[in-house]
Amino acid sequence: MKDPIIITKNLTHIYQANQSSSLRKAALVDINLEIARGSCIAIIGVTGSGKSTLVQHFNGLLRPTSGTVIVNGAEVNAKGADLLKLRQRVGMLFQFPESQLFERTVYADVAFGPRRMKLGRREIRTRVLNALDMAGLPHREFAQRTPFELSGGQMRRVALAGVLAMSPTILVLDEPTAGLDADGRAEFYSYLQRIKQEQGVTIVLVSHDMAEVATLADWLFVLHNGHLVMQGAPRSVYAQGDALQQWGLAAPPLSELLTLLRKQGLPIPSEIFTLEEAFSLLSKPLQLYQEK
Amino acid sequence: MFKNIALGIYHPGNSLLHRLQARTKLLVLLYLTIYFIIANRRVWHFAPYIVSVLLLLTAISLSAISFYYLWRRMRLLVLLAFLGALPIVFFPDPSDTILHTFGPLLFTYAQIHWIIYACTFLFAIFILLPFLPIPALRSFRQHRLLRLIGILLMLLTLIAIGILWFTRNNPLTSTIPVGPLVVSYQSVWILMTFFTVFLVIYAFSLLLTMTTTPIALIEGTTMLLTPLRWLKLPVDDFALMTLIALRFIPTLVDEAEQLVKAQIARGADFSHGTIRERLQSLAALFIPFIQGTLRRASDLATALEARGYEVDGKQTRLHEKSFSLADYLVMSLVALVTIGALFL
Repeated sequence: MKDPIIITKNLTHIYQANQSSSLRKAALVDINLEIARGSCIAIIGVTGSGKSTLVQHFNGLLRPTSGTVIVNGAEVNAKGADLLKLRQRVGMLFQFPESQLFERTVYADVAFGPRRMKLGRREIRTRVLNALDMAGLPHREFAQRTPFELSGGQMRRVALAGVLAMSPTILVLDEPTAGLDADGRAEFYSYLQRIKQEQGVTIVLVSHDMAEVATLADWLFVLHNGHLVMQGAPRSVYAQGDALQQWGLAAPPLSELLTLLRKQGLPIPSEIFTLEEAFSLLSKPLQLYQEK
Repeated sequence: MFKNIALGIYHPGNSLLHRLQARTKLLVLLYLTIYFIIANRRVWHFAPYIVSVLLLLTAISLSAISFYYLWRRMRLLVLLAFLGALPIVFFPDPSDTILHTFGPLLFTYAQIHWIIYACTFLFAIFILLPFLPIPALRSFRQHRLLRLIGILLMLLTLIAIGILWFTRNNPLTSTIPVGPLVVSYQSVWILMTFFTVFLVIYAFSLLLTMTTTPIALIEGTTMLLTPLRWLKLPVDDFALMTLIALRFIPTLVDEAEQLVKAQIARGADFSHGTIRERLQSLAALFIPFIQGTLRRASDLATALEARGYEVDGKQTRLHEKSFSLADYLVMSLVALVTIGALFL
């Protein structure tokens, strides 16, 4: 892969490595992966498969028990690595990020990160307003409101704006839509799509739901029990329905349907995966059938 | 980072001691305390203490907990017990029957000076060794134990120089007496009982907490405290409060950990910057944390009510069941052996 922005080599993480063997727990075992600059990748796995542990290595919140993590050409766990700078470069949004809001106004909360970066007042202001607009919260309407009286989806986007205001080159989102309703989800992803296109940031999504990331991600990593068991473009990953099931995952409903049709004997090529492609393909044999 | 907080010292396992009910273990521990009080009334009668140590060894071997872990937990107490024992050894009661007398030893100043020179010489070698161009020696020096020895040697040398300075006018042939060290029956007895009781009871309570989950322990305690309910003491409320607290400590710790990470990822820094910045970072931590805790508490209250929880209702236990054969066996064995030892 040319120009990877994140590389992990033989990354292993063991929780409570210094404790007795009964309390030790291997969360990641020998992970080797590369993430291309400017891409949008998704890390998929069931609860406890190690996805959150993995992404927390990307900005130095966790240290590998063994192995190395290289972000933007610099080794994360090297001696004297500038973690503060790394964390500005790698913006991270945790699960249920609305619980991290604490300031009295949306503006102040989003400005928390930039303020800690010691930027000028004017620079902070433009960044905050831009970030709010980008996260779909028009600043005229939202900047002076209290974050706690917003809806769940809006609070989450305030947290996203807080990360965006630090203008990261990599954006890590850990289950960003957990607990949101379908509308909130769709809205969140539409803003994410826009951010991806306009800012050119590398996006790392963490999810347990394949269907959710289907539209956004262009490369998938599948984790199971701390092992990297599969990676590839969504098309090729979704085509392996049986293997996914074995790891407790389900391919998106559309892929499942196509797999079922294939089993019935319809000649559907394996690279079909968007709704439009499927529709155009499926309407053809149907016409054939009708003509007969 | 919060994972290192020791919340209890429970070691998961499936040994005999793990399978016993918490009540059994608590009762045995309580019984042993009473047993030691009774045993202490007969002076110079060792059987009960030997039996208690044997019981402890059996319990350790049945608990599948390595002796080393237990020792690591106990060594500080052993040190304290030693310090506590010093006055008994050095200031015996003069009316006691004397068992044995050591010394007094007579040292001449010349001998003392020789000893001091030797120590200083050793220390000098220890200091100079790592400067030799041998890489193995350098890493050898980094060892923790060796650094400790280095500090000790340095202290000893300083003391030695002090002694040399203060005794510089004394003639080398004059002597100073060391001792005599008197060992009496009384002091041996007190030391022995003191050590055994302390260590055995402490080791047993360690075993109890290492082989019982905190929740089972609370349940066991409440079941043993049931008689207090007749005195209108709120035993069950106490149990519920403790259980909820115990149940939620890990959850809250997780939540706090998550928050710390989230705010660090947003640029918070708890260990650098001006006081104002640090306070801001702390606010970013505490405000959401308290908010989350309060929300969780009110959710929990609603959930309890929705499930029909009543303060004066009768509660069932999750972990504590009725005594099994093993429980009865252990209790009767302990009672049999110890009572036998008392009358031996």
